[in-house]
Amino acid sequence: MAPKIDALLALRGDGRLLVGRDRIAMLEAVAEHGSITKAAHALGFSYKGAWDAITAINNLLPRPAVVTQAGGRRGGFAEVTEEGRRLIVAFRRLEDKLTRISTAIAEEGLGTDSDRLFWSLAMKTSARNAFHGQVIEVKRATVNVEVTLKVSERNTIVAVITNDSTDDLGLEPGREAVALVKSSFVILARGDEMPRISARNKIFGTMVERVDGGVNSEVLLDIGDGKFLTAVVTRDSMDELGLSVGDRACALFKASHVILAVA
Amino acid sequence: MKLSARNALKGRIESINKGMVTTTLKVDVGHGIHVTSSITNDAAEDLGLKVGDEVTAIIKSSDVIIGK
Repeated sequence: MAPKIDALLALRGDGRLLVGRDRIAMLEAVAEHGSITKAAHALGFSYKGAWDAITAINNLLPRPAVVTQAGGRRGGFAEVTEEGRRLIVAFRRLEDKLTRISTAIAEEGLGTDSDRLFWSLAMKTSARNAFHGQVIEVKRATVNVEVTLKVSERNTIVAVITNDSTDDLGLEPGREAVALVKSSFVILARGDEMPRISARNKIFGTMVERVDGGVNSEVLLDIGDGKFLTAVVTRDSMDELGLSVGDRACALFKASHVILAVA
Repeated sequence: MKLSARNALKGRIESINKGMVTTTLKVDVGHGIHVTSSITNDAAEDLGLKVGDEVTAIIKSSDVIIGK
């Protein structure tokens, strides 16, 4: 799937946002409905949000973009002025130009794997651990599939997901994907020996930070190649393990606890 | 072996069911309690698991669901 670049046009005055896509859409809605209340409702904004947006535009333009009349029982009346209409047209024209440029970049520039790195940067999830990597093996069974992802020179992550997910994501060797691991799924061990446990993922690193909360400790491991892994374990465990900053540690997590994502 | 996981239940493997990717095993941890574990075949082979082996079922406290 080709990545899409969504270029956002924002006009600024005195360093502050004057108009962006949302505010222009608000002006268009006011022009269409003749009322701020109805325009806000149509766009899913609160009345206050809509009113603030329009006030901000009016304050920043030489002449107001919207004029209002306080309204009796049938509610207020609002009209987009000639100035406001010119603003809408100018904004949409600039936006069209920008879209033509971003489309051209998407078509020409984002064909390579290195450019696709962008999407993993743009992705936001609540999982503390997100590792971009390349699929190196896909082992299929009736229900489950074992997918191996190379995330750095020294580390691979094994995920067990369903066949349906594998098909939906189009996972096959060579494909790029992101492995997500919640920090609470990670078990820690001291890093001097390979623990004899079934967890498929055993990633060694150096503890660089420990933040203690009331019950839990959040631990950051430097796992090499510029990558870091976060684990949340109980404070009691950390005290019993006797791990301190600078010590080697091993992060363990089950393959079935790994979520995979693709662009 | 010291781990951060708070729960370590010692027991004996009573059955092993190997699938194509995943192996399911039942561990008798005593007091009439049987813990089921699902691990990858590779993990089962690495550990050389056989019925009758003494093993430990390890569960993070944050993974435990409580019912009442």
